[in-house]
Amino acid sequence: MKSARHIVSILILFGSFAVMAADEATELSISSDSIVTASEDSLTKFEISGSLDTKCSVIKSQKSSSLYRLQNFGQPTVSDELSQFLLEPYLNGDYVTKNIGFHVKTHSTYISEQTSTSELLELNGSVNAMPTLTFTAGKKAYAWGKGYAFNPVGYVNPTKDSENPELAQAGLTSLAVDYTKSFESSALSTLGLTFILIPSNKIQNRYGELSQTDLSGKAYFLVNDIDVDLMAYNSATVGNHLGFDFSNNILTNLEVHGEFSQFTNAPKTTIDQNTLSIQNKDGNSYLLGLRYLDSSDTTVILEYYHNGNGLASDEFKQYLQYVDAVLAGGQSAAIQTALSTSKNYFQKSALMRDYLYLKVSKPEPFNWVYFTPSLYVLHNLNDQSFSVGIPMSYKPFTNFEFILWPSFLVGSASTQFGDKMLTQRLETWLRYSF
Amino acid sequence: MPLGTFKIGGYMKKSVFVLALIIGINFPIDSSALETANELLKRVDSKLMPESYEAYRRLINEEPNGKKKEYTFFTLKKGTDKVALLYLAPASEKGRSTLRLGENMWLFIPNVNKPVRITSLQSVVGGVFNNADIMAVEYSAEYDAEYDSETSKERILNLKAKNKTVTYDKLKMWITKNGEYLRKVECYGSSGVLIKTLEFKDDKNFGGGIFRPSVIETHSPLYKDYRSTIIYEKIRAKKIQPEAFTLPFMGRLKEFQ
Repeated sequence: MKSARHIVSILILFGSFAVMAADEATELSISSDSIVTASEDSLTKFEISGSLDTKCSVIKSQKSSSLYRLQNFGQPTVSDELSQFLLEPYLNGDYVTKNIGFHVKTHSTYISEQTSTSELLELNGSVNAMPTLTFTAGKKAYAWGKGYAFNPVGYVNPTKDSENPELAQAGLTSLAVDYTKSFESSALSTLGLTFILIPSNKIQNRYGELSQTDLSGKAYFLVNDIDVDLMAYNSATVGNHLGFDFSNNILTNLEVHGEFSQFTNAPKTTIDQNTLSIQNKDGNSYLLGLRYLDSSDTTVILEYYHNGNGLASDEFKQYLQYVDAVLAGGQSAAIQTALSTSKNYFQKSALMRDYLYLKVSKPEPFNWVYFTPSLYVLHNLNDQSFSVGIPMSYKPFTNFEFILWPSFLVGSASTQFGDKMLTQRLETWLRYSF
Repeated sequence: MPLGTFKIGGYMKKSVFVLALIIGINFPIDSSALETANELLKRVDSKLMPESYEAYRRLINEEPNGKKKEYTFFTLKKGTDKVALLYLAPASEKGRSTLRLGENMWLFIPNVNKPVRITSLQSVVGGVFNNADIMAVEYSAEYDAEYDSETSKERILNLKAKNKTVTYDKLKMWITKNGEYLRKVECYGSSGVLIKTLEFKDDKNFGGGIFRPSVIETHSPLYKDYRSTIIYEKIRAKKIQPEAFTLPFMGRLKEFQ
């Protein structure tokens, strides 16, 4: 709960700052009517918003899976069907004027007094030195790339959950400069340049290695109605990356997008003879996708992703064999190491090499207003395992959303989705926004 | 030449002169009659929207059972075909923004944190209005007009889309006889089917020389018994930085409020 207290402190500090800013505006010239407006204006420019997700889940565990046994080693035996009741408050504060902006976004989870966490998703301030030039410092979530479920050029993005790509994620501590210029030309309409400096995130005694400071840059062009980005990332720890993306409506109801990334000296983590092995690799990753809207208002998103630094089927099997070997050994220290290895290196939803993602959503079927059912499939093409979900959203009242979300993980033993800790999950969400 | 004929001719000349005088007094020659349909359309556009402006609007979707959902938008418009829109309410949608540059449209959702291309026929808010209606650009930017006919109070124009990327293939437009105010627009698809009807009501003086309908009501045979209404609360001519209409600024529109 210590982190929760920190977050509340930040919000109080943030609120105080906004009130001080408002007071300052009033003090500037009390005699003028327009200054009263300025004070009111400053107060209205400070906003607290957020949402509370109340989630109730029922899961069917898969006790035979290596990951279930690793996660629950030494724990009392429980039944196959488990439930969870979870509160997830999101609290945001924003203060925005023409020239400056401050933003804080927080996320907490509460299951019980003993099991609750809080995290700072974003905390940053920005200054517009010129209308076209902005400096930003702090923790900020970037979202590079045009893909919906995957982003091979998302060098500065938080790790995406491909099964729920719209989930808010924690940002990156960084310093950024943005320059944007609009042109009247029909060929080049917009130019955007972004440079980001990312300090080392390996902190020891409150300091990181200066040589592990990363640099990144992106150039955006809207040229002949096509969105194009060129990006680069230079790092002593995660290698050098060069990439581009594009997006265009080739028909009024059909959008196509793609991303390509070339990497050198990018670390790849595998298990070799039951030990962790990290080797630097060169290669490329890419994504091709489309978004189609049919005459009945049904939206289809289809994406193919090749992850050049992902695991091959054999490499994934070696990882599971390592977990099985450690469990068979029964040594507590080795099991803790395996647990840590699993969490740090093998938990990504796009862990392997080739994936296909399909999502179909249809708002208000059968004239049932404010109801939107969707179906998604995340298919691992390397081991033929897949994850299927059917989120159904209903918004009967303003600021209130109800989501029923059954999902299934399907695959044979020793496959990515077939060897998960659970096979089925039914979630219900009640979301209230304010 | 018979004299009588001359006399009759003189009488006729007098009659024509008197008639012309009467017509001249009671039905002044309308200079706008000389303007082409496209010029009239541009005049309607200029009355509806200043070249560059900001506006606060409410959108109300009403279901057949009377249940209502309401949204509030802050809108920026520049030139003939640039519109940016920021959702102010309800809280669940707050911070979303949409951008239209000609026929290109994008949606920005704060959690997703990046613009995604959307199409004009989609409706981000549900109801009868689609994205093209909510982010309407100047009619003359998208359509060529010709005169159709007129009633006692209105002129009727037929509008044909300049290209296939425009949302509606044809429009039929009712304009007051003085060419000042739009009253009704019927929107047709390429098959000739009526998709929806927009009615422009409640003329209001917004100040700064802006006097226009403050309410746009729409209904559609495709959404029987549903009704959507846009209410203009404030409109103000404003010089807007062109970068407001770019993708990098979609998450920063609040800076322009």
